[in-house]
Amino acid sequence: MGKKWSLKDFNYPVPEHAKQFGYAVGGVTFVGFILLIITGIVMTFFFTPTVDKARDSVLALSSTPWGLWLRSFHRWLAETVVFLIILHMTRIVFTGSYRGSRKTNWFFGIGLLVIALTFLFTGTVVKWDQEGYEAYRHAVEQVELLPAIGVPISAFLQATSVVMTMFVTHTIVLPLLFLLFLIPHLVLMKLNGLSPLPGKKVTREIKLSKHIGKIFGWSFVIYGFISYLAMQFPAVLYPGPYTGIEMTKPPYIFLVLYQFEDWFGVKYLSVFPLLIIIGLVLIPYIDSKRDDYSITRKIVVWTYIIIMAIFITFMIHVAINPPVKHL
Amino acid sequence: MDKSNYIQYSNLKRWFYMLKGNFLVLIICMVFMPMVMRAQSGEAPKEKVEKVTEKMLEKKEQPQSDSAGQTEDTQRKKDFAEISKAVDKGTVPTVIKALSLAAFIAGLAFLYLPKKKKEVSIG
Repeated sequence: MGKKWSLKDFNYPVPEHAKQFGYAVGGVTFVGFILLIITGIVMTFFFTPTVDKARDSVLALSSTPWGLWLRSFHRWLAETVVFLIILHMTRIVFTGSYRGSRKTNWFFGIGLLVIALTFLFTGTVVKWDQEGYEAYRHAVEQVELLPAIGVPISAFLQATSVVMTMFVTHTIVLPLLFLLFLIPHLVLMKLNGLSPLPGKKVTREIKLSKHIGKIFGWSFVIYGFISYLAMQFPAVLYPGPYTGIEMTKPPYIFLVLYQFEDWFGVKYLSVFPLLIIIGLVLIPYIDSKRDDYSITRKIVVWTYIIIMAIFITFMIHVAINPPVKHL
Repeated sequence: MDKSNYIQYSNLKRWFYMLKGNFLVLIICMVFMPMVMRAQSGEAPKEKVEKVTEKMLEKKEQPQSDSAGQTEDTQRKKDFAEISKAVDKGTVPTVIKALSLAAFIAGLAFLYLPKKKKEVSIG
């Protein structure tokens, strides 16, 4: 006779350190993503995805308190989720949780990071204000550089309604892709179990419900705060869009690229994200030993810290300086 | 308790503390770096400023229409800053802020208020 399943069976034991924020941050990010889907769906009812009406419909939505909050919360939430993904990735690097059987899951994680950044980019473009237009022009410049497919893709982007293309990508293509990466990411996490604390054996366990409780507790704290900020400092909607000027800066995470663009010009902009992705992919191959105290482990962690510090410096540098014309 | 693991964990802790100290110095250096790096930017050449939407619609010859284009003309002319300022004066923003803070405090209370421990020991 087969086993009869009850809800209690889903409340299986997990290592005690699942209570720590570092081990709950992935779950908090997931909750953020769910909130993004909900707020995004509500906003689609008020959005007109055409070049002549997109900005106006966003402006109309922003003229009511709930609409202004909804749009600002969605924007702030998107930037927070990207930050949390990076925080989650940092914890993985610090604890070496990409080694052994967890290597595949690390690659799915990189995929999710890339998709999240594309979400942020397309979300910036769809509102079709000056910020959106400038982001779009940068993308077109990059696409044209792709060998063989660059010119046709660029022609497609410029021939069709840009806003509609970006809207469909943002609301249909990317969510599907995200799920395609998220499902195996979660399944592999369940199969491998929660990664151990470096140099420590699991001696105590807690119930999964306690881990989920922590995730929701942190979610309330972080997203409650973001919700407050959204009302206090609403997301800006720029005028325009106008050609011949460049007056905006991208969302904070892209400020790193802005610095590279300052130095090397727009033509080589896509080289740097590519290098970063290649670097992230190589990490599990460079640091593959089980030893938590190996020299390669220390080199990888220190390289990661130094690169992150340099990126933060670039962000601060770009944030405090006036916008520069690149196109 | 496995003594070897305990020793390993202590080493790790020491290593993390070492990392923490050096990291602080690194951050301080990095904060001051932008001042050194400040790029010189000359005045950008003046170019013709043109409304993109008008240009695109002109190219397509047909204005892109939609069923939901009911935005009032007066609203279109208003600036975003003006609108958001006007919206912020009402009661609803205060209610939203209060609800947000309530969620924030509820989360903190859930995380940090002491609870009865129910941990399972492996053995």
